[in-house]
Amino acid sequence: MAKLSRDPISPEMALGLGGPGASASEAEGLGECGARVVFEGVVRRKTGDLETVALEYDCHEPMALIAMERIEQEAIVRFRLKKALVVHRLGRLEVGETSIVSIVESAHRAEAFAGCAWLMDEFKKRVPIWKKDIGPQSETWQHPTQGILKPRP
Amino acid sequence: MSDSREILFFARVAELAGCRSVTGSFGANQSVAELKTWVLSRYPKLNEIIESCAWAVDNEVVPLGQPIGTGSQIALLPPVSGG
Repeated sequence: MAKLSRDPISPEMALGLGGPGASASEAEGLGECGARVVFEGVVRRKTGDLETVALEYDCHEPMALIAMERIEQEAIVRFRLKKALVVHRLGRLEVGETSIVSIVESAHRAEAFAGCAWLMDEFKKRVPIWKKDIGPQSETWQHPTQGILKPRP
Repeated sequence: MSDSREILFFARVAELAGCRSVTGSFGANQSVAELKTWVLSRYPKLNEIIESCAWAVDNEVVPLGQPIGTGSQIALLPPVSGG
C-alpha cells in the first residue's frame, strides 16, 4: 500500500495505515515477522557547500502511486517480505521534516535491511516525484540523469 | 480524425513552459515523437530539458515511436528526484 500526503508524515502514521502486505500487527501476520526496518528520509540543510532552506515536491500523483505499489510488490517477492509500505510527502517541507517513510517487515533482519535499501534505490529511479531545492538565494529543480524514466520492459 | 488531448507538465518542464498543461488536437495515429515536435514549437525553452524527459500516455511511460492511440492524457516527465 502506498500513500502520498500533503500533511506531515511519520513512521507511526505509516504503520497505522495497515493495508495488504500482511502487517505484523494483523492477526494472520502475528508471529511471522521477526524484523521491521523503518527508513525516514529527512530534509537536509547542507549538501556539500550548498545550503537548503526548504524543499518543494511536485508529483504526477496517479503515476507515482502506481509506481510505488509496483515497487512494493516487487520488493515483497524479491526479498520474501511480509510487508512493504512507502509514504511520500508533497508540497513544501522545511529542514528536518520527513519527506519519505519506507517500512518493510520480514521473518529475519537480513532481508528486511536489504529489501528496504532496494526499495529506496528503486523509488529514486522510478517514481514521478520531483524536488525543488530552495536555497537562501535561488531555487533549482533537481533532475539527475539517474532519474530518467524508461518504458517498462 | 483527431481529438482534444491534454499534455501535463511538471517541475522544471512546467517552470520553463510557464504552465501546468497544454491542450492540443491529435489523431490516434500520431506518434509521441510528433507530439514532441509540436510541444517544442510552442515552448522552445523546453529544448533545455526535453531530451532527458520521458513521455507517458494514460499513466504508462511509452517509447517515442509509439502512436498515442486513444490515450486521453499525456504527460511529459523530466528525470525524477523523489525521496
